[in-house]
Amino acid sequence: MDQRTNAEWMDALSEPVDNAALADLREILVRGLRASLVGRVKADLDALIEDFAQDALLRVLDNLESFRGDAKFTTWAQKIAINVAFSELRRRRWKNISLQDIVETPEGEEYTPKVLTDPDASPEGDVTIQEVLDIVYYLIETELTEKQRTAILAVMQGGMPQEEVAERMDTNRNALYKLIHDARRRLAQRLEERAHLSTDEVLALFDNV
Amino acid sequence: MKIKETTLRNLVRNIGETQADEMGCGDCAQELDCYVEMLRSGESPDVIKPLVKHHLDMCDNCHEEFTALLQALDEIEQGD
Repeated sequence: MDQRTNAEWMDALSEPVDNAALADLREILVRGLRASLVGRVKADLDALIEDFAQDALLRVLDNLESFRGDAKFTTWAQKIAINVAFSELRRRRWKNISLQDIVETPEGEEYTPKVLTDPDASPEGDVTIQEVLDIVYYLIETELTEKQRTAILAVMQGGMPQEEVAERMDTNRNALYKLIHDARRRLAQRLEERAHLSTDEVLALFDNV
Repeated sequence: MKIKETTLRNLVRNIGETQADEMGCGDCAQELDCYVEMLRSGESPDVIKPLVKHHLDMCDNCHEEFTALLQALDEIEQGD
């Protein structure tokens, strides 16, 4: 079934589409989807897989020209099927949950910085974990934009998938990753200035806990 | 701002792992099929494609799809 070369798959799935090849690809995608979803989905697995495979086939056919040929055609198609399935599962799981719901922390669980004043002071001598946490807490409030804070809290505290956060912030997954990356870089830069710790030293400090 | 201590600690670790040059989800998705095939053939994609490796370490959604793709390909190979 998967013995076709990439060129043969491309030829068979281009107009006019070879229905036998389409059926073979569908069977491959169904098997792959089943293996990847069996431990993650409890109800209606067969029906879901059928829907995902059908949607994935349409996506594959619509995007044939974007196949670069640096992997096997079936691996590329399976990658698309996995993306179709997992995006839809995330959408269903989080559909009724707002960003505000997800970023709120139950009373009593929030972090309280030990040093509430003199935020511009740099620690003297060896920096402790507590001091790093206090500084980062302060930097989150003062150095990040509201969008960056919301995105970080939604993803890291609320556990909401980036794809879902992105949709609620009227952006896409790629742009949201960049928003968070820019925030991490800003925090790393300011932390180094304030605590005189490189990113490697920050990791070492927390790895020794 | 209400932030849990566990979130703050995880964020500090993420800050420590932050690189100046990181790949976004879209570029990672483009490379993922090739990356997975290299991994399954015993090559060291973390050396050849370090940006993909780092993105997968930092992005839960992409890592989830990466793991799922590995499972799918294992199943297909076993059935052949």
